[in-house]
Amino acid sequence: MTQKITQQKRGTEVLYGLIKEARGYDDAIILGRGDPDFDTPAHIIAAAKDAMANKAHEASPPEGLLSLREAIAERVKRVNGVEVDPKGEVVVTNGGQEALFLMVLATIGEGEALLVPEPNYNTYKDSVSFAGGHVVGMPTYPGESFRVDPERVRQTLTPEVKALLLVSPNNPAASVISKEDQLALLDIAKEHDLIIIADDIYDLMIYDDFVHTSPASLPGGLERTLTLNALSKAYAMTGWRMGWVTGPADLMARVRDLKTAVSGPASTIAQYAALTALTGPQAEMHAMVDTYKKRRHIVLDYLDQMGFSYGTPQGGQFVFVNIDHTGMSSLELSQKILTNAHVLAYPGGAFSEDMDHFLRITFLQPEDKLRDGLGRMKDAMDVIAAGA
Amino acid sequence: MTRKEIIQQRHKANSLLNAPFIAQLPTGDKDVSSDQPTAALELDVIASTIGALESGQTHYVDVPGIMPLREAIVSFLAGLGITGYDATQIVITASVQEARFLTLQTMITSSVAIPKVVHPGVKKALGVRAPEVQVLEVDASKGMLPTLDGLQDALEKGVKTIYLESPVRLTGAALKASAVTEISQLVESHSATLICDQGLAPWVVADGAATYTPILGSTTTLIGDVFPGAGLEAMPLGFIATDSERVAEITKLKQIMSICTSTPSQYAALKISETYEAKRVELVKKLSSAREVLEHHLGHSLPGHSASILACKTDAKTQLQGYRYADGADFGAPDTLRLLVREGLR
Repeated sequence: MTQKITQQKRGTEVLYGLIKEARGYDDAIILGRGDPDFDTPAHIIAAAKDAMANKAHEASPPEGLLSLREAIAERVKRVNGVEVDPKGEVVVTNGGQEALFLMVLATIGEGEALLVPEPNYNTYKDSVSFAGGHVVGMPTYPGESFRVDPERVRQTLTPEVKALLLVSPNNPAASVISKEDQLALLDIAKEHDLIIIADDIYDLMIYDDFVHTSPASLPGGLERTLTLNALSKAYAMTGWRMGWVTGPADLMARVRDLKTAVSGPASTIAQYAALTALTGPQAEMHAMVDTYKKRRHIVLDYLDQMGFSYGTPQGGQFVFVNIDHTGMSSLELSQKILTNAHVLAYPGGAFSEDMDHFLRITFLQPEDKLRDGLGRMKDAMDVIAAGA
Repeated sequence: MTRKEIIQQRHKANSLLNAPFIAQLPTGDKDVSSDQPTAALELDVIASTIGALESGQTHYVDVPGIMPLREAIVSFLAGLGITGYDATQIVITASVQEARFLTLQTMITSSVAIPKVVHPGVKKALGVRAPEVQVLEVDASKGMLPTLDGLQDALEKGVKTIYLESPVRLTGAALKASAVTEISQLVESHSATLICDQGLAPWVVADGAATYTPILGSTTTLIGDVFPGAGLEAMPLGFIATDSERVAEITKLKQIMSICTSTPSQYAALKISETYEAKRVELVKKLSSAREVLEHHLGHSLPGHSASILACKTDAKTQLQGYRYADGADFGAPDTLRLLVREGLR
């Protein structure tokens, strides 16, 4: 019987179940999870050491240390072209995940909806559901490079939709929303008085000639956009839990109050580490991004050898692979590859029920391990093909 | 009205969410508004934490926390007389506030009863997704502990979740053994559940000895601060101890909220756990002496058992000029204030 990931079983639970199973194999290679294989750069750890020795009694306000908020404001201006006031338009969070949770709580209420392009990172749905709302999914298509088509967004709107989620580069489809489309999407938001929830977490990982555009950087964008970002992916700091939300002061006052209710101030020590990440040497961060670019080609070469089709990643740390020709559900194929090759690729069905004919494969393993994993996956696919 | 105006209007109308924020950490020498002792991080704790980070512990960890720390929390609780939990029943949180939020938001079915005098973080946590809230009357002569009559009344009205503090965060008053037994029986007989913040339990001195009577049993979920008084104030952690079924629900929400808890904090706490119990016992003695001196000096104190704090009537304000203390009004007791006990504060 074909295994399908249903609404009854949350996508996240499926993914955690697969990770647990993979950990049971000594030689497992995980090519699914969005956790960089790089460790946090040494100068950032040194900053944490200094903070532990000298700032262990420094209280942080709920919105985060002012010095870090100033560094975030400077970064947002430099990278995203958005000017925010560190005193009222930045809140430091426990990672991008908490940033997302707070943004959803700040904007979506009971019975209201968030319009979400699909496929997407499943936590968006979970957060909206917690807030008492629901998501209105809008399909994107591999044949259109998973473009968030503004016209389709317009057609998908319902009266309950109060906010629009824009993730660029998208997770898991790795597509980048063009400036032209961002402008058109912002026009729709203005026309229907929608808040934009922007997830910019992969904004430094853009490939080829694609360009990242933050909705908040566009004319009239900032006043209706809450934007999240985090240090997890770009600085290999997933375990530290350091992220932030930026946006207009009136909405950010609510985000701040929600932060006090949900968890209070983030760790002062982690905040000093984050400050050094943003203001210290950037060479290692750039080197990591360059490595991802190189690995992307390695992954795509192997996928070509296996005969898979895919949308070439325009950004991010993964590729979304079409498995239609196997005739299997994504969970079924993921499970077979894990059992036979001890390699974990994430089933697309965990990101959207409509994406059950995709796998997500990340670039987040060292080159030798990446080649080993993809080689084993190729062998497993050969066996599956022979069996079929 | 615009969408933003609607959001703001709703926000202003949410009195629970707008409850005051109380900082966990003093902002200076004359700030005695927090409720846990502070200390410098010891060098071996810093070295061990940095060692863990340098060896690659900078990645996501398990949602409920790293297992050695969860095991250490079981031992920490045992040192306070809180037994019956194994490590799989412990969830590490980013703060005691996150522990409040996770328990309240996963355990309330429709309504909750909270004491009239309670840490304002409880109201804030409830305000995010507000259930029906009933208020339990408290007894000022017993340090603002809730009355048994009020508790019984709430249960008879059908409330299925009760939130208590023992010790009370404002006064440090802790439930006596007889009250613990009665409350446990009441809650169980009404098929209700209890969330109890026991974060000040490490500092309880009752009848002259450092002993504490916890509320235990399958109906009770405990929350508190991880290793308070050991230098973790700037990288705070909380814990939840509960049954396996609730751990699963709490872990699910924790994953949605923040994936996991910051690894540097967890590794620092793990190192602290090795020597915490002996240091805690020593600190209780010191705080207890300091509290006695302060109590004598101020002369307006309320009953309390936690050596880390002293609550008194607002008459004491004149003697506290220049100090920043916790205002009882933020907790629901306008005629009371609270001081953090420190050696030499007098």
